Amino acid sequence: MTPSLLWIPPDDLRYAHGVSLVRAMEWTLLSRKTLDAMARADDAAEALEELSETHYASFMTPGQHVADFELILSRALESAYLLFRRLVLDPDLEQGALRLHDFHNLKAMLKANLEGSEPVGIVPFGLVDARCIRDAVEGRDYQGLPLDLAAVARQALGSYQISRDPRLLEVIIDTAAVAARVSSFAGLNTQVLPDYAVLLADTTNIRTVVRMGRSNQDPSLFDLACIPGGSLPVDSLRLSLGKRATLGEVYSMTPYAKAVREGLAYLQEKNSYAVLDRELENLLIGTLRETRFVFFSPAPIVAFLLAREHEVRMIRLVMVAKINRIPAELIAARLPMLYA
Amino acid sequence: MDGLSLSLLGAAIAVMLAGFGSVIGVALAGQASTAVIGEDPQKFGKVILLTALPGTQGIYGFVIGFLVLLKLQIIGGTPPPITTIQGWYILFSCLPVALAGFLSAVHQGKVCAAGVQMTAKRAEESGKAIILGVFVETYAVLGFLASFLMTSGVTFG
Repeated sequence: MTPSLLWIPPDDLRYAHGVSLVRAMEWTLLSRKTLDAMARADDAAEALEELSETHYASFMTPGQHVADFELILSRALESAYLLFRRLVLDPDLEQGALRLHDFHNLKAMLKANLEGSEPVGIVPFGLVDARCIRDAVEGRDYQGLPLDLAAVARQALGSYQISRDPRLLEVIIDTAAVAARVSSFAGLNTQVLPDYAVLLADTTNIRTVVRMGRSNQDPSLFDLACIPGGSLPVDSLRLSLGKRATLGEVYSMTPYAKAVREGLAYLQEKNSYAVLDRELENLLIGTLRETRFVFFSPAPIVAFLLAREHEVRMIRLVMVAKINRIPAELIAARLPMLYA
Repeated sequence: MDGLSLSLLGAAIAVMLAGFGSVIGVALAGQASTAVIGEDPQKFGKVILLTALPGTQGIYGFVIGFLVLLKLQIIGGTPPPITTIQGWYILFSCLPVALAGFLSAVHQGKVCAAGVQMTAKRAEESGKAIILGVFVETYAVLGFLASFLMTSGVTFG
C-alpha cells in the first residue's frame, strides 16, 4: 500500500488488475431501461425474452422456460461470486460479502431440522460447505463451524426452545447475517465500504422499526433485530417504535428523511412498503456508485458484486410480479435505481 | 570517496531510481491493461500507450547516466583527474532526474492505470486519459532537463 495522505485511505495498488477487470465488465450490469422493458412486457415469457438479450443470455440454454428463471439467476450469481473470490485478496472482505450465505443456509437447515423436513433454498455461495452446516445442525454439534456461525446457531436454537417461535429464530439469524456484513465492511481501511456499512445498518433498522411499529410487535423483539454499527442511536430507534404518525419527524434531520417521508406516505395511501424499500435501496446503491471514483481499492470489486446481487433481486422481483400478473406500473413503483 | 566514485554513484542513482519508478509505474498500468485486454482484446491499441507512458522516466535516467559516463570518458577513453568537489557536483546534478523520475513514474503509473480503467468503460475517451498521464510526464521532463543542463555545464581539467 502507498501511504495515506491525511484522511484519505491509502491506495491499495494490489487491486489495479481487479478494479480494471470489473470496470471492463460493468457493461454486463443491467440498465434501468432493460428492467423497465421487462416490467412492461406482456407476460413473464416476454420478460424472459427481454432478459435473453442481455449478458444473462450466457446463463441460459436454448428453450429455457419461465420456470427456470431462478436457475438462470443462480448461474449469474455463481459467476459473480467466482469472479469476486478470484479478485479479492483480503479474507475480511470475503467474510463480509459471503458469510451472509452461510447464515442463510444455517437458517434454512435449522428450520427444516425443527420441522422435520428437507431444507430448501440452500445456496452454494457461502464460505462454509453446506454439508458441514447440515452435519452440525443435525448433530447439534457446532464445533466444526466458524465461531460466529456456531454462536448464532446456539443462540437461535436456545431462543426457539424457550419460545417455540420460529419467527424469533429467523430474526436472530437474519440480524446476525446483516450485522456480520456491517462489521466486516465497517472495519476496512478503504473508501466507500465503511460508509456503506453504516448505511446498511441504518436502512435495515429503519425497515425493522417501520414494519414492527405497524404490526404492533413486542418492542423487545427490536433489541434482537437491531443491527449495531449504524449512525442512528439505538435508543431513538427504539423510541420511534409505534410512533408512526411522527416517524417522519424523527428522521427529519437524517439522510433518511426523504426515504422515510415518501415511504410512509405511500404506506398510508397504498398499504405497501414498496416506496420505503425503493428509496432506502436507492440510498445504498447511490453510495455504491461512489466507487466509480475509486481506482486502487477493493471497494469497486465489492460494489460490483453487491450491484450484481441487487440486480438479481430486482430481476427476481420483476419475474415473480410478471408471473403473478402484477400491473407494470406497480412493478415500476417498486424498482429502485440500478448501479449501472 | 574520490571524485570519480562520487560521479559514478550519481550516474548509478540516476539510472536506478528513475528505472525503479518506471518498473513500478509500467507494472501498475500493465496489470490494469491485462485485465481490460483479457475481457476485450480489441482495446489493446487503446491501452498500449497508457501502459508504456510511465516507462519514459527510466529512459531519461539512463540518458543522464550515459551522459555522465561520456563526460567521465569511462566509455572509450581514460577518465581525467576529477576532484572530490567535481564528483559531488556530478552527483548532485544527477539527483533531479533520479528523484523526479522515480516519483513521477510511480504516480504516472497510477494515473495511467486509472486511465486504463476509464478506457475499459469508455474506449472513445482513451485520448483524454493519455493527456492526463502526460501532465505528470511534464515534471519528469523538467527533472531530466535540469540534470542535463547541470551535467553539460561540467568541465574537467
